[in-house]
Amino acid sequence: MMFGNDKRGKLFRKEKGVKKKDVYDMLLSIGPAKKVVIYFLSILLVIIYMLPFYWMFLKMFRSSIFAHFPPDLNPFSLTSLGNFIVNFRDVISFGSFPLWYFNSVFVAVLVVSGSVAVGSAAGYAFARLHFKGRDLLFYAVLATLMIPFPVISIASYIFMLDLGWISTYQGLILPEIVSGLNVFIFRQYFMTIPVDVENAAKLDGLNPFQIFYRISAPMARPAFAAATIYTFIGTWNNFLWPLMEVHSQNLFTLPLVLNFFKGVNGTQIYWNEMMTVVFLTLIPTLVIYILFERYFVEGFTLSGVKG
Amino acid sequence: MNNTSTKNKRRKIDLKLEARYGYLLVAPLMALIVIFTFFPAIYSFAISLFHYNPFGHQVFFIGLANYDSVLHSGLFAKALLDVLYYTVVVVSIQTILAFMFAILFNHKMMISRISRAFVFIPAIVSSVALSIIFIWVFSDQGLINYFTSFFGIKPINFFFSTTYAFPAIMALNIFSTTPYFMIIYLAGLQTIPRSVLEAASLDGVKTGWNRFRYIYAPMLNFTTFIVVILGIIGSMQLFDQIYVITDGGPSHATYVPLMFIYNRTFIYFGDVGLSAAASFILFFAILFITLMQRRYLKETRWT
Amino acid sequence: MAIELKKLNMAYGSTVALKDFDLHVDDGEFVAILGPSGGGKSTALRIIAGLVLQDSGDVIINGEVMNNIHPSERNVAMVFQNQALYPHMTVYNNIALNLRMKGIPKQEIDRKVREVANIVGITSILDRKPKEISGGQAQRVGLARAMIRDPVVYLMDEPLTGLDAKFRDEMREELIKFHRITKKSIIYVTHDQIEAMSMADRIVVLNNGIKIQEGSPRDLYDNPEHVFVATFLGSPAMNTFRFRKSTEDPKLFILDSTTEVSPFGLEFADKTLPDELTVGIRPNDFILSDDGEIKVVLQSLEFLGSVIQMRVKLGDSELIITVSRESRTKTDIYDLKPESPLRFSVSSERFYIFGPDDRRLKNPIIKVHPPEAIMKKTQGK
Repeated sequence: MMFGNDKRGKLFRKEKGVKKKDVYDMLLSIGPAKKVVIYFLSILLVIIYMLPFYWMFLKMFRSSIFAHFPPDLNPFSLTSLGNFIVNFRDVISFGSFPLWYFNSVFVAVLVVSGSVAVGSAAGYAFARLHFKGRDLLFYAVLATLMIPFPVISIASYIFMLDLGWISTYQGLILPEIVSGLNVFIFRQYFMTIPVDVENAAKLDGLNPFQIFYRISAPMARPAFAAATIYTFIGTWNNFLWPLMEVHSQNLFTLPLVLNFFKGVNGTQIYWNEMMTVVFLTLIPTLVIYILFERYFVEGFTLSGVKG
Repeated sequence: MNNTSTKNKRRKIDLKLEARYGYLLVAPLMALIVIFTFFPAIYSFAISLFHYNPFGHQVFFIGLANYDSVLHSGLFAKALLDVLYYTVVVVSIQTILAFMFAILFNHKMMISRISRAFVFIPAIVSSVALSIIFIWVFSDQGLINYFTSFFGIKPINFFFSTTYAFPAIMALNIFSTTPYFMIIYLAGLQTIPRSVLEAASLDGVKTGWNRFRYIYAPMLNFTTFIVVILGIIGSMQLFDQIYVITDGGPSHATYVPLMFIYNRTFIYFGDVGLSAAASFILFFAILFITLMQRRYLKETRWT
Repeated sequence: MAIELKKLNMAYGSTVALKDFDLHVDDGEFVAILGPSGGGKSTALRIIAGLVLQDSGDVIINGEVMNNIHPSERNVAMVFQNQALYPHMTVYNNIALNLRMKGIPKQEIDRKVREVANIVGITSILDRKPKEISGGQAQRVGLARAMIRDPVVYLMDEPLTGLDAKFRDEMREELIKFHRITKKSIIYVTHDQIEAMSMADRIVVLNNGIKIQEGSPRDLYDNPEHVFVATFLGSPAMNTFRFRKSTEDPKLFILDSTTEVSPFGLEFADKTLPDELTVGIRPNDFILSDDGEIKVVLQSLEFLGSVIQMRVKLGDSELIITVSRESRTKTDIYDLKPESPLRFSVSSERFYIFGPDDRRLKNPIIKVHPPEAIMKKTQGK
């Protein structure tokens, strides 16, 4: 053994990690009075923001279709699991609810994987590879950010009509894959990866594509997470495009189902069932949110939207 | 190393290799952009010059006549003015609230982390789902009337009132987009180094207001620009909530440009050219406001 | 000869990175390329590696012209600044990747990885990710990753720059050991003269893309051929002064100063010297003596352990002088106050004389004149 084992590794790192927290806390300390105000305002906001969802949640466990006045916000009055099971059964046997749920998942998964694959590859090329016309092409991508989708939606609809793609999966999916924002997030992130890591890979004999998918892409995990989350939520909640594109119930996605269910009994909304549908629609979003909460702020930092 | 045997086998540097991979990696994206963004944009312009009825198979060139009729239809002008009014109100209120929320939640306290996570939920929830919940919130049996009833105010059915329907839509969107912009502000606040606050603290900048005035507001100048721009672009495209809740009514009280565009194509079959012209006018309105903002930013930005 | 570079030229747009750069590196030689950042040294290294393509000139490795050969086929290995390890791979995979790309069988790879890991002492951390190891360990992983390729030459691009100061001394020791064990050539690029002086067999000084001088560390220190080399090597840096030819005597040169009387003068044997000269004196060549020819005014004094470093004023110029703590004057050295006058002498062979082109002139100084003598001389005429 040439150098012997390095026993100082840990010690060395500990020194590096020393924080000046104490000093900061003294200068920027939060007094008890201020703490009370922060607590009060924070809790007040949470109550304001959660009340509508709270009522939605209670309504799923009630049997009455009506919204009574004054609103019953007592969690124990007239709620039962049995009511929920009835509501849930009514909902999933309504129309082709399982198919509609599948449609939403299917479309979201394909749009997300397409958008992330296409966006990361292009983002990498724009960040690290040199080729003629690169800047021009990147400006073209940026230009798409200036064109809001609703503005071209009519022409896109006519285009789908010409292609015979109305009420088809490809018509729902392909126009949604382009995301200038994703390309931008990936490009920004790839530019922060040290060039020498890629040089090392070049010396190890990797070609540009291998460097991308074996070295740089695995290093860009936060960018992939942020792009995936934002694209998923955007697609899952998308309403205008499916509304135009889909004219057949077989292709309904959940936002269309929500709107359809709202009007299915004329002017009377069956609130207990309606709220069950709303809740079922929210579940995937909420699960992703709970799992990846920290990436939501990071996403903005990555896209360069910061001070 | 026996270089004589390997001499001819050595891989050469291929100068074009990098460029080839570059084109390969951007090709799928560029193809999709051209087909599904640029082509429809141009197509949209072309359609706007025609009387175009894909259902009745009537197509003939009419020049700028569609633009003329859109601008002279009182309905579109009203819709455009209404959405501008909506944009001014919503963007100013949500920007100020978002900044205030962000400062409130930018503490290293448990309560801040937890409540910020809850408050963000409406920003990620489907607009249609939220709209449906808010049909109840603003209905005569809903939450708002429940609270106002404590003060002896008679119940109002907001979405059925020409006076209150549009403000109720505004309230709904301020409610749901404020948390979204709050997150952008939080990301911005995190880029302010603590040492700056520390130094300012030593300089006597200690109260919340002074900190806001001398540190947060000037340092987050660019964040505010982004928040305002994104707010404007989003507000001008208001559609989902209107379609789900009021369908433009009552008596056009909540009629917005995208409602006009949608209805002209899908409700009164046949006026696709007119819709396309209207969408171009909307596009230029958005572009114009965005560019104005950009100029304003150039003059005021000091970071 | 391991490496030979012939007339390398490289420019980025209008910025010249390398100009007619020649270099020979013998088998087993440790050569440091030393220069300020932006001096072209990193470009030279990248050209050898094939990461950057030269505009003209030849790269010859082990007798074979490698100008357009792919970086992975040049029999070179590179150790990067901050190591540039693959952060998502274990230490083991970091080292093994090169052999995998060559399609070498698994058992063979495993044997080699363990062999080099054993040599640099990182066997215990093979399963860890770069995040989970210390700076010193990362350095060794970087070496192991280079070593596994059994290269003709190791190219090292400021590998110690990212490390903490007190750790660097130790890593220098390790690199010297590494060189002794592998017996391979090393080209080591650095802007730190201490690293170059302490490790290299030979130093090549590069500035603005031009090779200024090369030689052994001692040779460069004792016989700098250029003001740049003289001032770049040695710490604290050499003091330099401008001297002007006296109007009365072509052999006499006087320190360029706005003060009425020049603080000292130098007399040369040669009459034909150019009108202006740059004169350099190393801080430790000043000898404190009560009848010294050089009169200065003390500005500040720092006690640095074995030596005392003084900042003094000589005419308009400020200079640094280090003296040993045993030096004596009439007053105790520690009692000196700012503004106290001091006298130093410098033996005449310790002056470094440079011409207007900053090149060294080898002209013996006959005599160093104190200010009084200059005054007499100029008044006498």
